[in-house]
Amino acid sequence: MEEHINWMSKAMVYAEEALERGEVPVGCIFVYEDQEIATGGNRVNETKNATCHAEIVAIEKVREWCSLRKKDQQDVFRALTLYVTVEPCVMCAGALRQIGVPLVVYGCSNERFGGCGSVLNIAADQLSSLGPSFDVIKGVLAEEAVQLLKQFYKGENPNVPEDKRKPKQISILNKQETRL
Amino acid sequence: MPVLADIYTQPVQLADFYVSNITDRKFTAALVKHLNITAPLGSFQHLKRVRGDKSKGHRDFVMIPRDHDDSVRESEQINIMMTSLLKSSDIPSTTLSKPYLVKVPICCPATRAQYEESSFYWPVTFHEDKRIAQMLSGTFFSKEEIQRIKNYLLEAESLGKKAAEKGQKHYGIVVVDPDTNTIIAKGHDMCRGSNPLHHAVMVGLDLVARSQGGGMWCLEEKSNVCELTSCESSNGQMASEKSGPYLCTGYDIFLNMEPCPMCSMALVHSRVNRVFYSTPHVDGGLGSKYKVHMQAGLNHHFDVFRWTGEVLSDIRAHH
Repeated sequence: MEEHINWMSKAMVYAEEALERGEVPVGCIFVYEDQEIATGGNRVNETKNATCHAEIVAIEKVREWCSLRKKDQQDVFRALTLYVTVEPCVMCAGALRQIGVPLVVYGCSNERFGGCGSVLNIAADQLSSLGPSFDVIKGVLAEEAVQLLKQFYKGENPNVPEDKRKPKQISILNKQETRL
Repeated sequence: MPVLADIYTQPVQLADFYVSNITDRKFTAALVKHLNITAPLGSFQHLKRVRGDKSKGHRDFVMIPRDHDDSVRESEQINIMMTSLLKSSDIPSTTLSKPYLVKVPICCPATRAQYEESSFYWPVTFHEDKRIAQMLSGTFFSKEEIQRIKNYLLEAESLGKKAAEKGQKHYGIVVVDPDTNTIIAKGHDMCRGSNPLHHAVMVGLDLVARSQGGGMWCLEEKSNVCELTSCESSNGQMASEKSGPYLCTGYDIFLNMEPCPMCSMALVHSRVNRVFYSTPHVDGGLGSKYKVHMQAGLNHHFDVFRWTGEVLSDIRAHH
């Protein structure tokens, strides 16, 4: 557990960096053979691509790491542990299955988008064409992750148009916090 | 054909309810008023409280759901129940006959077909959703619209063919602005290249981002293996303007294959307007395995239509 907390505090740094950039504060790192090989933070606003979540960014960096070291990326993917501050969304959970990551450790649950049990359970459901299911450890530094999200939603996402803004986000997070 | 939430397509579910005959019709109004307090319908608000039966010349009155935890109530318990229901009212207990069980629909009907099926069991209220009704009756799209949809689906198919020729999966995507009827981006699968996440939808969404001055992947690098068009950037108009809507708001997506759960959620995140696809996939996220576009709890929903006309794609259905 201590090991998980150590890695997660490193992932938290990338969530904080995302917050400073004005992005939803989610950060992650990929650990391979006890070594941090890739990191990522949410970059949706910067890239104008709503799929540019921390995990997707970091998966791309794993690929770069592999190609620099001439390692087979499939072998590396299948030996990775992902530490991510918030439960991967349905999309990212699908992406993680696609590349065959066996273990995901996350902080707080994601009641709005979560793909590891909150909204759907892409992590464990029978989906033979999507790759192997993966194991999940949750609740590591959840409180810290929620605090960052709260900070973000206090100031609203400036890229969301006026009519699409949701005034209830703070209360959703409060509910989330009481659940943890 | 629309891919609707289960509430529109499921058969009528039934529950047991205690019902009694009204022996004296002049108390009907008083009974309705009183039992709405002592025996409120709760989640069964769609049930009408009184059912007239002209052939038998009497009226039936719906009261309370049967307690499913135990077996049918003993007649003694039924008597206690009846007394408590009419307590502190001026209605004589002889107004209601000995109760009996009937099956009633659990849910408010969402479609006319469900309404008709429900009414067979017990009279219910029904407010028809005109939009859903049109979708179900096949009159939602005009002939011109159907032709346009077909053309874009064929375009997605031909992009899929190009992908297959290059050793990629046979999946293509066309992103269209329906207001101007212009193509915003065309792309196809390239997941057998260097990045296994390069599904057609993920590629297409990044091409749209690029047309708005964003983008996260260096897709050009692989142009020797793939053929992609981000239409605006190819003619140099919108790429420099950095304009366009918020993400894919208002855009229609055409696919020759139902997207996987990852891509389905990517479409939710991108706030697309509608999705059309021609071939279902057993693990697909927009109708087959999940209905992500209608998933409760998600912050964006959209309409999905599966082509059910003549076969438009060479790919075999993944059942």
